[in-house]
Amino acid sequence: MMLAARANKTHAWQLANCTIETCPISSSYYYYRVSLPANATFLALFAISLIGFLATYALTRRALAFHFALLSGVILEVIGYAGRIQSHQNQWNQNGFLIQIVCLTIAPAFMAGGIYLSLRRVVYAFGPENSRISPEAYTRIVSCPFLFPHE
Amino acid sequence: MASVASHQNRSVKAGDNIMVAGLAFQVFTLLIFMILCADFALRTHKRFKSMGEDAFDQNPMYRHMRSGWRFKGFLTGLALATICIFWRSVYRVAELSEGWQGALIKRQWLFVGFEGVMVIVACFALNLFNPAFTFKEAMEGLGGIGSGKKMRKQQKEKTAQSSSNSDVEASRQV
Repeated sequence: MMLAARANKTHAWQLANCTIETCPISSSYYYYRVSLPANATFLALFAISLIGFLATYALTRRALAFHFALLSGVILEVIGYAGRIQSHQNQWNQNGFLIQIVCLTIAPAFMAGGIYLSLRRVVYAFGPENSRISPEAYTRIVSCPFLFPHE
Repeated sequence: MASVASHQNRSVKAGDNIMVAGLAFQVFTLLIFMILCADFALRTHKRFKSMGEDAFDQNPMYRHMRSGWRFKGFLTGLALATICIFWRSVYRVAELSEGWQGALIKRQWLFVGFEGVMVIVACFALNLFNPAFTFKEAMEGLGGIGSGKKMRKQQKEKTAQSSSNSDVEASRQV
């Protein structure tokens, strides 16, 4: 405990020299030993998903905006889990920590964007008469106007 | 960043608040989206109860699509993906609003289960029931960036065609 308190007071460059053997884990960016198998599995799964979306778009050439959103999200997930693997190698490394926190926090927002774009198509399929607002209005309401400049 | 600042004994408040605010905004937009979905589903269901099949679009392309498994799978996949991403965002708000010394952030398997698993399930659901498969025909010239322009152009061509057809018919009748 005292070690941890002392480590927290030292400068970042001193912590940068820490290893699992020499410093308590709580002085790193995490409170636990970052798991390599879990993060490597996620990296592989998101890479598979990425290939899936790329292949689907390459073969169909349909739903450009949806694929743009999902590809952005999945690429950020891949980078994020690569950051976590970097953190596994050195839990005191600032780069790995920053990569994973930034990428993994914003990635699902892109996927949500792709989902929002799809509601309009569902409304068309059932008939716009059933809806309170026009199908295009759904897209305008929920998606970021600067990300998806819809007509 | 907030945690970096806490490492260097600087103020962590600003970075913390920005991250939590961003995640809370994700939760908020997802909530609005789910309310819109529920509203549409309820209205459609009500109309279906009073009018039967006539409540739906009778375009043969859409009738065919609605009866197929791809479309039902897409609706299920979209709902699943929405719930997963919503769950994950709520968890992240709870995690980060406690600060960098909170109880949730100290547990790796909570992160694995509620961040990693939730998001990968959402992605695979959308991989399997990709709208590019589900809405095959409906997407020709429709959807995506610039679809409004394309639709207007199609409409114009259609009206131009029909008016020229009626001209021909009129001349025949004469």
